[in-house]
Amino acid sequence: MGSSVKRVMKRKEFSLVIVLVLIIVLFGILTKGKFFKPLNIRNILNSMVIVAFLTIGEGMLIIYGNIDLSAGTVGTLSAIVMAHAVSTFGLPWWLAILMAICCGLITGFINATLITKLNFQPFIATLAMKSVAEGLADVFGNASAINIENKTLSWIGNYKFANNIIPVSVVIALVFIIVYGIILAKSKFGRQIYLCGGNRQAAFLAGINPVKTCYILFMNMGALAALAGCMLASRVSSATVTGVNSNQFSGVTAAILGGISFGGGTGGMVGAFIGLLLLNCFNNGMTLIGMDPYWQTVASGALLLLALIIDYYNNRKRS
Amino acid sequence: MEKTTSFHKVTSSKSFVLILVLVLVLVVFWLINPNYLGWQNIKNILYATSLSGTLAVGIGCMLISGSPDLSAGAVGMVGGILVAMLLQAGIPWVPALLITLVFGAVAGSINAFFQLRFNMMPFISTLAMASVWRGLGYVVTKAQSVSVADPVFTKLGTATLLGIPVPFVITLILYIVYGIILSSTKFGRRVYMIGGNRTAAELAGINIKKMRTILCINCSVIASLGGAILAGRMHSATAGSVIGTEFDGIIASCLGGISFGGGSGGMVGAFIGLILLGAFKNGLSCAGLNTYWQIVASGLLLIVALVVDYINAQVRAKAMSKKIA
Repeated sequence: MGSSVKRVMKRKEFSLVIVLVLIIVLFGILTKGKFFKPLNIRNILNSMVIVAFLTIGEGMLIIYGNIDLSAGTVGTLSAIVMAHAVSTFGLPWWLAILMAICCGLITGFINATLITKLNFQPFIATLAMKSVAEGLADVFGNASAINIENKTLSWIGNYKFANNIIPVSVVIALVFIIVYGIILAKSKFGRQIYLCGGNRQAAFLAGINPVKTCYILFMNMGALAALAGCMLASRVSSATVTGVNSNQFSGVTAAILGGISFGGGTGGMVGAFIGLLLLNCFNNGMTLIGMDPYWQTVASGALLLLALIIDYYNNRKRS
Repeated sequence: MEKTTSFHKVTSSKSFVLILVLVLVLVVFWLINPNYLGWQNIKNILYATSLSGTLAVGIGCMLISGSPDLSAGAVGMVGGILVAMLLQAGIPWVPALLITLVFGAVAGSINAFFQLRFNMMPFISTLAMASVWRGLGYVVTKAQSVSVADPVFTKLGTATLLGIPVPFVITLILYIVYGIILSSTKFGRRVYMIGGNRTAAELAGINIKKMRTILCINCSVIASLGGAILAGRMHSATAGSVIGTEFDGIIASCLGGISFGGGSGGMVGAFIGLILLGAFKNGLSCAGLNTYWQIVASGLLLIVALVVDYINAQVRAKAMSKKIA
């Protein structure tokens, strides 16, 4: 066997792909082929889009050595901002999305400030932000939902290429994944993120400004969360007060499944993408075979634990 | 040599500031709505804070040692469901409660296992377990509430002792007991050391694994107790209850000075923080603000508390360096 083939097989991502293929085959058999029907593939892709944005942001933060627990509720809040902009104030769609992104940027800025300038622990700072965003979403969302009636937004959320199978939103998400993947793997900024995550003192001594990186990453997370929220709202034509809250957990799980370790400094977008596919195929498969949605909650927790265990063994192998 | 009269010591302590803020909150809300300080409303506040307070004791110990436990709420919920189901099966309330506490111990052991065996970061592993328990709770109850039939048990949940609700009395006792343990025993000192500087603690011979296991089990047992008491008080256990109330407990602990880095804070401050948070939220609803603003306020209050904590730390550090210099 050629040495390059051997190299590919050694990579963490390769074992992930094997697991992915196994899951697909397993559910294909269990659902007697329903899993592969175009309608189902569309469902999988739809659910992936929203989690994808969150995974990108959380993944980069985890590599850097932080985490954002507010991403979900910030996304929901931003979606409500967008909905109000369009429905209550009649602003054009692109301005509404821009305002939603600003909302995400602001919360990201606040998170980074709390963590760097005021020495809050990341999880408590983002936890507090989560509460604030959740409450504000309830307040501005009139406790239920804001309807959106905008053709362009609906198109973004719903239009599908290729005979009604591949949604536009998936294409957008893929573009983001590829762009961020390239930034992470090949750019100077990407290397800085890895360095900060691996050894922040060393990174600082090497001339990197970890504080600036922290701000960029959190504001980036906020913006991505806002996009996730907007995507969901555009698809269902309304911004609900719960929005993407439940997807946040999946975002973190997908990143960890994909090999992004809390030890910081390792993992990449390719792995995160595979983790994303894995998670969504798994969730979708479970729904298809009729599993109680509450069992699915149990399973997602168990899956995260499994991912962390695999991560532990991977780390040990490396050292 | 600086003059440190006892008056000076008391007034510069964190708890004193908190009590001042508490008095301020009480006065302000009483001015807005005179019923606020009525006995019925005070009982409401005490009932409401008893659950988050109970959970906070266990979580607070863990926080001081430097590892959060985000599964406490879910464990409490399952605890409540478990006790309700056992009572329905005809088991008398004392064994039922004991079995529930054993469940709490099991849940805590699982947490400790994942954190010690696989080096998982506590907050992510407990977050994952929270999902597991929450899902199991919903599955077992099929999302319906399980009613608590035992009259003695419900009496416990709703009775008052000298006018004070029994659940709150239990919370108070927990705070006192754990306050003493943390401040005056060798065990308590070890907890602070682990939180303050884990490496130093290890070098000093403290068995971190044993301590972590004890603290995890302790936290989950207390959480299941809290859930059971709530089930008694509400005459039923519902899937979806208790979840989220641990955040109030965490916020209250932080308000009271328990630092997330670990290694500082205490039960006195945490208790005052609890009352403060409870009085504040109740005051908001008395003033007519809906529950959503309360959620925002809790988050903001936490941020304020941590900012104050940060400023205090800076002031203390400056004073310390002045003394040394």
